[in-house]
Amino acid sequence: MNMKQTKGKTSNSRRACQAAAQALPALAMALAMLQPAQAAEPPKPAASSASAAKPATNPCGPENPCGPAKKKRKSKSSGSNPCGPANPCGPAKK
Amino acid sequence: MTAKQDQARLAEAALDAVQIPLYQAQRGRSMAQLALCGAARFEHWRHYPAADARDAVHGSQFYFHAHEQARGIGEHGHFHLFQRGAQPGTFHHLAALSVDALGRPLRWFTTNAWVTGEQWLAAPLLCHQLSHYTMVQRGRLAPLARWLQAMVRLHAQDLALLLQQRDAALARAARGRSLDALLQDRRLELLSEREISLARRLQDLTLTH
Repeated sequence: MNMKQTKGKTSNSRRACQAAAQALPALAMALAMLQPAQAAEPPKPAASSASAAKPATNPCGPENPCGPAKKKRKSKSSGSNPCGPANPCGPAKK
Repeated sequence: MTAKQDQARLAEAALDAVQIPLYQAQRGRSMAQLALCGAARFEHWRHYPAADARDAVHGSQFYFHAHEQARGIGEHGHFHLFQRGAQPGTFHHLAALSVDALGRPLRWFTTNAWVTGEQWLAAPLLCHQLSHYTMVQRGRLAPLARWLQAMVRLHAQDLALLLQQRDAALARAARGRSLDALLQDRRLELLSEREISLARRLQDLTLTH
């Protein structure tokens, strides 16, 4: 990289940082127009048995309440799935 | 990577950290709304997205959630950021990022190993991964992933300090106990935290570039 390119890159970086800083007021104004996101609430009782993610039913268990989700293993019966390789264009089951 | 390339990467992160939420806000969405992945309800403890966002190429993973009690004033929820470990099936928790209900970043924090079930990695080894943290997603998670990537790169120095404080907090609590015992101590949950000011960070960057 020659001197000219280095200097160009440096000033590009500086310009990018300045542009980011200068965009902050616009961001603040745009955010002021938005509704706050909905607050978190307890899981619905009906859904709690199968899919609620409170610590007791967290896929990573209560021992690690903030652990990452475990990877879903592929079902062994995928060959008979209507959307699987055997029927790549099959209709969805009712 | 040269110092100049580092600067360019940092400058790109600075732009992403502002322009991505700005672009979304101009279209009526905040990063907090984006984090919910279109879900109709935001439920305690549930992961958003349900199976976490994973970048198989770079070994990074994240999800958003909230507890019954917010982690700090004004918190709407937080992102947990992970990096896949060297051994199959292992992962490390880099840090968590709290945001408010408009998706504005509030603070970074670290947790004890039992909280996420991570394989513990000392701060110097984790810090090494921060400056090249890469998270790529397709579809509607793409802007969120790129924004988180920008936040990590932009705050890499802060995060390095945060992780050192995490290890120091554990060392203070040790009192002769083994590391394994400390990592499973349920009384030790939140180990370090650091408030964020995007404006201040960008100001610092502008002065040093």
